[in-house]
Amino acid sequence: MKVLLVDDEKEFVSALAERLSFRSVDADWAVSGEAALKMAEETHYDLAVLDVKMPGLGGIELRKQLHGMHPHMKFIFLTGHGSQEDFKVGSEEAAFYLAKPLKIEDLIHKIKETLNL
Amino acid sequence: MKETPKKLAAEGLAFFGRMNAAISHDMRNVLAIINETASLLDELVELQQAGQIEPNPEKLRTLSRRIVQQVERGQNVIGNMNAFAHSIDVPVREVDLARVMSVMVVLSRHFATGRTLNLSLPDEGPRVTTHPFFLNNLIHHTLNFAITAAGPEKKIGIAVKAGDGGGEIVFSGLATTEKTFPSEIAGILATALGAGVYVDTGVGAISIVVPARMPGEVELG
Repeated sequence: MKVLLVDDEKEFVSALAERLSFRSVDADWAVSGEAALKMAEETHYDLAVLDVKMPGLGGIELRKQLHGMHPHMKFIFLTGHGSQEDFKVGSEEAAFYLAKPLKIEDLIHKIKETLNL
Repeated sequence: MKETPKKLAAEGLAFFGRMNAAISHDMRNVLAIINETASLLDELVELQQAGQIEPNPEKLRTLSRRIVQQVERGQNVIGNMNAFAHSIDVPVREVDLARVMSVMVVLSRHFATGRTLNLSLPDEGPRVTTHPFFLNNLIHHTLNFAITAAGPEKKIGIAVKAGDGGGEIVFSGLATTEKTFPSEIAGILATALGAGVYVDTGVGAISIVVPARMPGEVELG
């Protein structure tokens, strides 16, 4: 299982990746949609965890582009917003939608559920 | 209640809600970083105590400093929230346009997904006597227009300068062909403030010209 984490908050996404590695989840991370697309050109990811709101390429558009490159890739959205609109978009475009701050056990549970593990 | 005051009151409530949502988003990000960093610290200590990894005091120190930095960031967010909340305290008073703009840009970054905001502010901006809450609201609408109309580079320049005894806020880097400001409520806010909103399609900019003193009281009742 290979996971790509994308969030413009470097301190958040790097710590999350390291904590996932302690739980045997192989996670790479990127701080922009543009960087994530480059990484996805070179590496096959089973699942991407995307922040909805990012400067540059936002999570919704990034999901479309990643899906175009890798139609079998699964997605989980993260957001700090928690609005009904975000929930609606998140539910339509991705398997799950999680609000920050996260409980890592919830994320791992959703990753496994999304990948049928 | 007359039609214009009714619209201003309804818009004011909606604006307050939008800004509160943006502030809560910023605070969630701060809390998320503190949560991940503190949890990572805890897990690293646990792994070290179990002899599964080598002790790395420098890394622990870096992580603890990161938490302190995020607490400071959270204090700034709350400081800006406080400044915004108090913009309604006294209906009309003297404000520094650069300070007003600085707070509004920080609070509005949330709405600028996909855009870069480049702020160029003097240490002390022109001082105007105005209705700070309505001015914030007008800035919010104008900035949203600039975000929507940003040119291919998706970079918006924001500057504040003195002019005609009052002040001017300029948003540049736009690629709009619209010559009029496309928002009825922004027009109502500008009229209430005695301000002008001007689109310059030639240079790709929109500006708010704020008079030194707004013309009269705004009646909401």
